Amino acid sequence: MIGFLIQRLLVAIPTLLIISVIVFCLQQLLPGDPALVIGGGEATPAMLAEIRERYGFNDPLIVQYWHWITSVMHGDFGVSYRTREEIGPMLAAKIPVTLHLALAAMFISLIIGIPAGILAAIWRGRGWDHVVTITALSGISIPNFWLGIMMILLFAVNLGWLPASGYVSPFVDPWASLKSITMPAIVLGTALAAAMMRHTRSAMLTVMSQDYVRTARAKGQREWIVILKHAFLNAQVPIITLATLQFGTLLAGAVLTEQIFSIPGIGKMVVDAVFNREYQAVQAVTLLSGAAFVLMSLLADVLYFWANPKLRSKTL
Amino acid sequence: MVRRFTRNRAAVFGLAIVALFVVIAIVAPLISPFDPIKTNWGLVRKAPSAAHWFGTDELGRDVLSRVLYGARASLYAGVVSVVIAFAIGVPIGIISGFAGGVLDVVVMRVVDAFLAIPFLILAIALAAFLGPSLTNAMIAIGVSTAPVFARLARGQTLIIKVEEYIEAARSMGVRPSTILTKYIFANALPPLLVQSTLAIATAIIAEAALAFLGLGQQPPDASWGSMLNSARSSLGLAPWMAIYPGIAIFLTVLGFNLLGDGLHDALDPKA
Repeated sequence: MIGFLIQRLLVAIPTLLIISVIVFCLQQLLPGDPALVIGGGEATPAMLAEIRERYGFNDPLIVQYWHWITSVMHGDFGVSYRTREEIGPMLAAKIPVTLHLALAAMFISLIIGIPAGILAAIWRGRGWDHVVTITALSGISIPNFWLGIMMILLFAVNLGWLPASGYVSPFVDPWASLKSITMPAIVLGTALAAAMMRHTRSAMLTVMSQDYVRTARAKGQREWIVILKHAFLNAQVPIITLATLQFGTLLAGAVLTEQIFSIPGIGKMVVDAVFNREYQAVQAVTLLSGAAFVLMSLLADVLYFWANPKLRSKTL
Repeated sequence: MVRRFTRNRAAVFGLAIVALFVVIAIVAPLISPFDPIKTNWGLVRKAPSAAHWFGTDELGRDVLSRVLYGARASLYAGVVSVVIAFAIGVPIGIISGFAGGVLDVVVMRVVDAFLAIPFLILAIALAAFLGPSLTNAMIAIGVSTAPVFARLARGQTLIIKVEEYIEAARSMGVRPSTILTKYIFANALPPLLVQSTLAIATAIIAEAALAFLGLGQQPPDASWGSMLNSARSSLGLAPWMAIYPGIAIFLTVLGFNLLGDGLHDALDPKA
């Protein structure tokens, strides 16, 4: 197990380094003088010189990269040029909010996606299977920002049941928090549930055609035991992998969902940063989201290893 | 293959939706009842009526005309983004897979790094650094999608390059560039076309998302994403401003997804 982990880490490290190079290079895409872009049209030559000095734009690229990556490794993502606030602590304050939304959305995805996918596989080719297949395809095709707007229209504007926007921490007011997170979690969770349904159905269909499932039925096992114990437990490996990777993407911040519902998470931070020309914050979020995905991929590998007895016994 | 495709009713339905929106995009100037960018202060936020089937927006513009013209921006952005992704990703994937060795390892690490950054975050970051415009949005979406094509093209190349006809071509002294283009690319094309169809669906949503955030098509030109953005502030007063562009995005994306799934099943009946 430790050898396997080390092997996966050795693959993850160069990937993380390349991500950092890509993210650093984003700055080179800025048209014209980056100091002018950061300072804006009203910046004086003295201010521009200060920006160039502060951000190290006068140094060669490799030196700029080295300064940037060493600072990032120390948790220093730079300082907001507008507010003079440090980006690292700003980012840290957003993480629990996005984490809360990601967990709630993941919960919705799992409770809808897995049972619906299992039932579609059991009743393959029948009514429910068609319902699940069409719902899943529609779920993938609906832009979640439009779904969000429609839900606000129905549940906030017309019915007045849920708040249209804003976020309340569960540690401040659990009931208000539940109300504030419900719509964003459903919007985000349904898109994930659609993918989860398709994946679960496909994994279950593969497993249900295996000999051991036929044997279990031939032995007279009850159908629900065959489905849950023999089929689902063996189909869980690809499902766990998908769920972990979905969570990795969610941690990057559900940019549009947070924007629509005014949730102060990482996704909203990146959009605000774009419009405030806080390019260092854009880089910080992009880097963090890439790193989160790599770490979740690593976790997916570990869970895959843990959930697959064949793989475990080979290594032990 | 054509028979397998036409037997799949969902795929034919998808093709019909896509064809409908392509026709709408082409003939938008002929069928639009009004000028999509002409404002009319006497018709601000009017509900759907016989004159304005989809109502009017916050500047008195006809929503139906803007939805029809919006098809142009969305389909154009979807197709061009995927062409960019294809043009970048496929040569990289094929050359990397064909060459193998250190080049393949290095290129695939870079591709993996791009794939690790969530698609929309990368597209937003690229669009932000390049500047807000439809062209830059298409470049951002294209570059963000390219790694998917590189991975797929490489995978196909690894399968094809060990085939006997490639061995035969090599032993006959056919130049590697000819093997890459005439043999490997030609045989890898079907799955890449399926991926392209599905990628157009993703690109249309991404363009709408960037336009929604103000990073795509700029006002006053019509785009489904920017229409949804302006509808947000008038949700209680004029819900029709949000309903119709959203349905248009949904139907177009659904069409491309059904078409892509149908093509996939037709090309690979075992799947």
